[in-house]
Amino acid sequence: MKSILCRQIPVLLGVLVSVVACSQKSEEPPLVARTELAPARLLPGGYVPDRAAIGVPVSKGTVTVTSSEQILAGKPMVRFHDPWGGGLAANGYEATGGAEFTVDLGDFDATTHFGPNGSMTLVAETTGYVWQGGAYPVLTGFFVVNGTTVDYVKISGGCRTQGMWSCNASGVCSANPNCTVQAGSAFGGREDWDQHQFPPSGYVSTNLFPRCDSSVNSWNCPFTGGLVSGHYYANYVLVSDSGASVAGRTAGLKVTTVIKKDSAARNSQASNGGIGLNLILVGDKNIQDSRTTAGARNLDLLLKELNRLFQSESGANVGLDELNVYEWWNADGGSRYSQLSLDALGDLFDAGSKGVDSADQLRKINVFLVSDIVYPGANFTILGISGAILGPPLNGTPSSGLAFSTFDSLTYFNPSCVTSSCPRNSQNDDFLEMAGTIAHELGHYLGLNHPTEKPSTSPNLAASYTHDALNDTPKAPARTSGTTILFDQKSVYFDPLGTGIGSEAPLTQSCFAACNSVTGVTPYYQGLAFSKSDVFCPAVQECQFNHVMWYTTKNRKFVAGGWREDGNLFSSQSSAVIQWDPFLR
Amino acid sequence: MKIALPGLLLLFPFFAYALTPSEIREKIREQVTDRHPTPPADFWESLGPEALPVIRQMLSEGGSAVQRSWLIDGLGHFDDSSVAAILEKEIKESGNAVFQKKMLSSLIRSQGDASYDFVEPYLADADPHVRLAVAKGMKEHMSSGKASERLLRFADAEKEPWVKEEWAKSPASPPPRMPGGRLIRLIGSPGPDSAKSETKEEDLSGEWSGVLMTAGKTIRCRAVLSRKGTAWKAEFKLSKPGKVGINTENLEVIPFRSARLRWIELRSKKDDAVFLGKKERN
Repeated sequence: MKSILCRQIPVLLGVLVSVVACSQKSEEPPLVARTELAPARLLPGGYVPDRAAIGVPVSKGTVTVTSSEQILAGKPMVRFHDPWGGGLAANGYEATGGAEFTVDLGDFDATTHFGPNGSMTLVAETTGYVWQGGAYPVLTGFFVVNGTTVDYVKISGGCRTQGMWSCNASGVCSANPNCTVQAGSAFGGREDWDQHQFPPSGYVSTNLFPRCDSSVNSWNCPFTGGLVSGHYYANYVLVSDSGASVAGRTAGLKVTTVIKKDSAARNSQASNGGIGLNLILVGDKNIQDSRTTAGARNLDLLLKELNRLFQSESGANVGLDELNVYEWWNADGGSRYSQLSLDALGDLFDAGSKGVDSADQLRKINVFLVSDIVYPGANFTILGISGAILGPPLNGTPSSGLAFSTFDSLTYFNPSCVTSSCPRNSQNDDFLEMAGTIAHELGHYLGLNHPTEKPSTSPNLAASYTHDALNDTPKAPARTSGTTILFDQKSVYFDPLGTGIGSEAPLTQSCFAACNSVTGVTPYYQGLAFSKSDVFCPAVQECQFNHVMWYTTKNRKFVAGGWREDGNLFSSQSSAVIQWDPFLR
Repeated sequence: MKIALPGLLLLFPFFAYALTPSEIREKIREQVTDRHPTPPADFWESLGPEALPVIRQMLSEGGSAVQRSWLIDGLGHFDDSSVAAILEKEIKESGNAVFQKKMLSSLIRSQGDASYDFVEPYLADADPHVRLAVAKGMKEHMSSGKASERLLRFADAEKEPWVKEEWAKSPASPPPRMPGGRLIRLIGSPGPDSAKSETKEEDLSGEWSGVLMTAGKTIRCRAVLSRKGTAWKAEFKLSKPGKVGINTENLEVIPFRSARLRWIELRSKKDDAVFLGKKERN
């Protein structure tokens, strides 16, 4: 009988994994010949960013990042619904028996290795898996032994006795309610944990610690400051999506430990750091456009706007560091990826990121400019997407990058601009949105979620909502229009404080009150037509649509010779989260 | 699934009442502005036939490139001749390969074999993405021998390995078409075809197959309808395991019939949910 692969219901960024479909066959999984994707042949870019126009490179100057790699062979696997078996040793932390196993990460000294704002990122990939599908390396524990062992990731025993997912006879699975993240863990809950173990493409998990501390804490976070000195360990389980049984089968695990040392405390320097980018132009059209005067000017303006968003408007005080430009010509395989389906992004990131200068691993995030990202089975375009929420700081994985659609229009944007100092008011709405999209997706790559996901059930029930784990980003409600649940600027704006799903400290008033207070009038948001004036309130933190991580594109309206638009803000805690990321230097 | 006009105006009379143009516009806008949209597979169908003039209007107003990509996608779900007229003109005039590809895909989806003569030359286009889009569209939406024969020649002649690979992976079976026919509304609120409709009540109990539309999603399912006193009660059986959180008692039941099929519309009085089902006439 033919086996049916377990498969994840299509999961996109911003939407948490909630359902997994899989079969429960008991026969052997079929072997599949695998060919690793070859590195893309990338050439140095003909376009050279004009840093005088974009802004000079920014770095904190207090950061070093190192990595080490270890491969463990012959590890057992389970499927989504298989119990892990085994348990924890007498010390209460180390995995013993069953499919769960412990990885020794080594000794670290807080001062020497981490500093006050350092971090440890664990990138795990399954190796030697030769059957259909793949296996997710799921982090199930993270603890330090320093006289008194401290456990930072506490997973309930239900996972060991019943598996992570409960599946019915038809192969539809849902999260096992007895397999949970316990209080006092670095993860805020099961969904938060899942998100980092099951990325949208590929079998690579990325987990960063600390992901919270006493000032970034809404869920009884176990970290009170930075990482402490001691001997660190992690527990893992390899979770296969094979439909057939994997009992008795083994695979390997490659764990790369990335250590970021930041000798300066958060927000203590003139700058909170810079982000280096590999800008990879995919396909002849984008490359040729980048080599024209108009195309190069627009790329400068795009990067300048991105720099402005991160450095000033967002409040993050983070700028663009070094920029490398690469070209992936059609003749070198770029053709296939210049217009691609969303489900082919893993291959783009994998092959493309292998082609960049290896010296830039850990230093630069890969940003692919393609012509068109198409939603699978449809014809419409996705503006941009991140390889993961918390992307790996390594190249050569299916999550190693971000991609954005140019619509083959790099030379067509901003026709009224003639220099790279062209003012924003002369730039196109679409173009400014593209920069905002890059900022949003970079936020995902650096570990941020949408403050609130659109509810799929009742907009009147707090339980219908999924919020990020940060308690200084506003919560916001949806509304209904006929049979449709709408979660938009209008529903956010008109929510009185405390009605619907409430608010979070330190925000003390509603978006409506704060926005009206700032503007002195009842604002109007383009396209929503629910008020009379053309006033926006982009600096108001209480309005979720003013946040960089708000889940839709921004409203923007050209009024009296200038743009009026929603804001692009990071909350204080959002800024703190991204500062732990090794890409921020 | 493709929406046939104007036949579907008769097939889905309640859509004309359910969604106003501004509501359709709002639903489209909601998808367009979502950075990570996950529309239901029958998003355009759920908007009903009145969506087509709204799409045409929105296209004529301009707007962002991403909105344009959505609207072109939407056009492909309507087989109205106006779609062919719009797309053929735009394809000829477009100098942008990304949008040309999208429009060709939508034209083929909309018109099927009728678009053969227009799209066939694009199988030899210099842009591999245009060639692939046309070949995949023809494979999925055309059934004529002429198209099949041409695709064989395309596969032989195509030099780009990845295009051949992608084309081979693409699905071949056409999506199900909505049945045609004139519906007669039996009871319920007056519709465009109900002026002389029958008023006697039929035995509507039994199983109906169709779609359940709730706030936010549309689900294929079957409904087993039974009497509970004077009221109707429905049990929904999903094609995939799951739960439907709607009140299935005190339903408003609106039956229709065509020459070949019986149709039924169930409306929950307590939840925003509508089921539209059909079964063969006895």
